[in-house]
Amino acid sequence: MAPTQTTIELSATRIAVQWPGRGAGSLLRPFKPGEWERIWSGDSDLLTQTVRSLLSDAGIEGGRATVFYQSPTMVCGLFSCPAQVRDVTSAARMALTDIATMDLTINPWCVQPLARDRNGEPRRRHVAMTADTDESVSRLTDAFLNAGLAGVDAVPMETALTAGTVDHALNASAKGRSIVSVHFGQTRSVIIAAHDQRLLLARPVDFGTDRLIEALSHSTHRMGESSPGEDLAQSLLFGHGLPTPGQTIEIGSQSLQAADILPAIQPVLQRMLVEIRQSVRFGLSDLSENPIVLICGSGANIPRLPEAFATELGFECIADQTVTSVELSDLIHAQEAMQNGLRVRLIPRRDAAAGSVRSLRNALYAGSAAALVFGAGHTAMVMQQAEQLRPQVDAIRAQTPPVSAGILEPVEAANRVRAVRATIEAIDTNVGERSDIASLLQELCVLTAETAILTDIEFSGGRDAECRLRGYTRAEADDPGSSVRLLIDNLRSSPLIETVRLEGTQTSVLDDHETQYFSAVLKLRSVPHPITRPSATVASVPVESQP
Amino acid sequence: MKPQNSSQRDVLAHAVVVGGVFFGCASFFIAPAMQKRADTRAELVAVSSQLSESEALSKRSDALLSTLNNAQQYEQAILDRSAAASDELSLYEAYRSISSDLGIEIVRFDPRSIASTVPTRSRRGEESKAVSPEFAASVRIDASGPLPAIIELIDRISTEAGFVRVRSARITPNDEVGDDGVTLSLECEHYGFRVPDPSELFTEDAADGEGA
Repeated sequence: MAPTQTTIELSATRIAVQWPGRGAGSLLRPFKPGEWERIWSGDSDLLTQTVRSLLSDAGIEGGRATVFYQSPTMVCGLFSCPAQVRDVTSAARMALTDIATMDLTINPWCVQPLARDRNGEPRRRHVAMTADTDESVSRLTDAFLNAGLAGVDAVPMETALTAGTVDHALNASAKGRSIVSVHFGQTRSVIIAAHDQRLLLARPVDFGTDRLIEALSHSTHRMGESSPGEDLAQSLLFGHGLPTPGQTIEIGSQSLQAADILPAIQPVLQRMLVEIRQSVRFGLSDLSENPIVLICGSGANIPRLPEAFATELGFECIADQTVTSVELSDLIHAQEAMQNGLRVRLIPRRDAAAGSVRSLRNALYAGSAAALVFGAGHTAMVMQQAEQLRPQVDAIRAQTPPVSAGILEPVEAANRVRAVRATIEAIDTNVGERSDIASLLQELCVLTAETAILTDIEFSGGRDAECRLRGYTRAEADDPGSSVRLLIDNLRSSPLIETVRLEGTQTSVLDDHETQYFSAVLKLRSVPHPITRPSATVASVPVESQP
Repeated sequence: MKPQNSSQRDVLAHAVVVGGVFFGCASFFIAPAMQKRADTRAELVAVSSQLSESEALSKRSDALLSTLNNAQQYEQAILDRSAAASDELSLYEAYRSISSDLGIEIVRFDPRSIASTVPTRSRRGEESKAVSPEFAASVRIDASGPLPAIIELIDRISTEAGFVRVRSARITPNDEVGDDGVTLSLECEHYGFRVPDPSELFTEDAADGEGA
């Protein structure tokens, strides 16, 4: 079954492919002399055919591929800026513009924050930046697409290795240690100096172990070796490592002396040592302690290389030999960097524009779908709210008591009450308070029964009603006025009478009895007509026209 | 460049179509739904207001109904009382009926019309038309009979012959009628009232002014 995601390395010396899955494997094909130059000088078919042949041999049909590549025109770098800078992308782009000799408005470029210092002051952010000409990226992408791949992510190899080495150095420099991480790659190398998880220096080196192999192959060729020099040199370098002085190395029927090997590789090693020393000098000069040199990449698999470096540098050197594949060392390290979060890739402008349109279309479709869903949901919610309100409306409507204007119209009722009240007031005005004559007459009958005989009762009505009484009493011999006095007292005790005024008396003899005639005026108490004292309810009826 | 422009035009066309679809959906589904919700909310507010008004009106109506019932009792009492004082003939019938019941002889019955021109004012002081008696007459009678019957006569005339004000009365003994016989000269004013229709009594301005 064909893999869907392959990883391809395209360097100046070879093209390698690695695929994962159940049938995981890798293939490598070295470029013949001049092929690399032809590829980038315009012979696109050569790269297409080479890739197609390689994919065919690997059994890969279609799928996407991540291509870690080198090209003559690509630019890579590491940019550091204060952590307070907000628009890191713009700052990194300006830095990239300074180091690139191409117009970034028409050529693809990419920047991505890698890490930030965890300690030290001022803290800085570190950004990987890369750019290439649109022609190179398009040529690369077209070649791989024409070879049958469905999609290509073009990642500059140097950027991936730099990102991986930065991570390696920062992680190793924890607990206040000073670290110099040397990625001794196959074609290029990177030196990173860090202290206490703070990146202090990044230095690209434009050679790798291939330079050692090349030097060794020239040396073996000079010694008359008939076999291809590079294979022998590679097996010699990674199989036996750096020889000790006076050592004899047996390879097949050949025996090689250290004196034949060391002079060939010594310049390359010395140059790497110089690069490391300068990195320590410039990057870690303020630190008193000696750094630890970590060697990774294909150079870490050269036996006795760390010991030789430690002897020369005077520092502790440790080889990271977790990647044992010498030929695919750079590819594996670049792949690890991508797995650790590196998101750098270069896209041809036409693809970027098409991608923008595609993104716009996808956003349009997604937004439309989301808007439709939202609109439908909103509509449903609105309808549901309306439906939920309906029972409330009906419930309140049911609670509302019907008001029949025919039964009780507040204004009309109030006016009716007022009319009754006005009528009562009219009655009070016309009739007014009065004296209860009938009760008075009955009272007089009782009060005068034992004391006097009334001969004339004259009543005059009105509010100050008076009643004039005339009559006589039988006078007592010893006290002639006692009967009249008793009569007056009795009259004054009546609740119906307010005052009693005796107008006059006259004594005469009647039937052999001494009789005393009298005349008295009673001022009567007035009592209101019952109907002119309406109840408080009627008197205080609220007269309001507002319902 | 041409395919690129074509793609952009496609996206633009799609955007236009999608926009049209959205507009259609908004016009035909969302807007009516929101309108329905707004209408229902407005209806809810309206019926809530009606409920509160209705409850307030119901409370006031209960009080007003009680007052109105009370007033109607007064009105009926006024009408009942005024029945015998609607004209001179009915007054005469009332006097004759009472005297017949009591066995008293009325030797003179002399009614005279009187006018009442006293204006009335409403409780709050606003001008309103005066409520005038429907009937007003002064009656002078001379009668004789036993004193208890005469007292009963005065009492019943005062309570059964309309609204009565006794202007004067004179009672003198009359032996011809009996031991307790008396002669009565009585002058009363009789008034008959009718509760007028509010429209006759209050002008609209006066009613509105009171209502405010």
